[in-house]
Amino acid sequence: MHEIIKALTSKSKETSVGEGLKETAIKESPLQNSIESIENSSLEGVKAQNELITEKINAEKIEQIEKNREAGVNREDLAHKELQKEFPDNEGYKIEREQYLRDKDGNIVKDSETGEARRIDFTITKDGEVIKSVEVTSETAPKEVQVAKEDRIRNEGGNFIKDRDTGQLAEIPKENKTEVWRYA
Amino acid sequence: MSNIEVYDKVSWHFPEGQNCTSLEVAKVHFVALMEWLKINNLLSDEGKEVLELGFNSDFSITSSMLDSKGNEVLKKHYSDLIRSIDYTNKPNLTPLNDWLEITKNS
Repeated sequence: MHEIIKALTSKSKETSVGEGLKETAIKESPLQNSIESIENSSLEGVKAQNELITEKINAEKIEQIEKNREAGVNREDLAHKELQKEFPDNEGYKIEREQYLRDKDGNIVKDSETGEARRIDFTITKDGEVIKSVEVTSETAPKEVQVAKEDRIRNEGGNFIKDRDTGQLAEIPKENKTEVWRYA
Repeated sequence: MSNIEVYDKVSWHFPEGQNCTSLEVAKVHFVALMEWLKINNLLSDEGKEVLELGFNSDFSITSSMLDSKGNEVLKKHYSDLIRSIDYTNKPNLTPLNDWLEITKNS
């Protein structure tokens, strides 16, 4: 019995020594070096890739704000050119940009519902009267809220704009509604 | 024709722009810039009048809202300012402050 146990212990030791040798052999082998190298390089690769993706996302975010502004400038340039063609200044028309709706005393009128004022993109005047007003926007932006606000302000007396050069008020006739022009 | 330059508008970013999630987000750089222009006395009477109305979807920054020095700085640096920010951060106004320092000393 004692011999049997001894033999088993010896066998077990052999196995353990054998596995230890195997481990040592792998640890020091070119295979392990390759595994480590692959692990490290793939980790570094993932890290570098993540950094590149983050940089790209940040750059795109920064570019977006500029792109949105440029798109707005381009839409209004197109509208401005169309208006200049239709309403030449040598025929007495005057195109004004970014005009607030004011009352008969020249005060900017605020919407009683939102407390906000209304600034119109383009107004065209002739002989002291506004003959057209235009709101320029993208193809899809909703404008219902602004149109409703403008209607309320007009009903509350905001029917004038102030000429920046002369300081004179120009009246917007009741029947004139701001047109919404959409561009891509 | 009254020629004014429109530097930027809230509506160009929201709702007309892309990847700008709300009106509040669109207003951030306008608020920061207008505060800076006010503190440094670069607003015209029209600019002061408009600033009192607050910031909403109709807000824009135009040349008629600034005095000559205000227009000089925005003509020179507004594009750079826009190129350095995104919708999640307040703009870095250092280039504008640097310009102000240089012009004060010149």
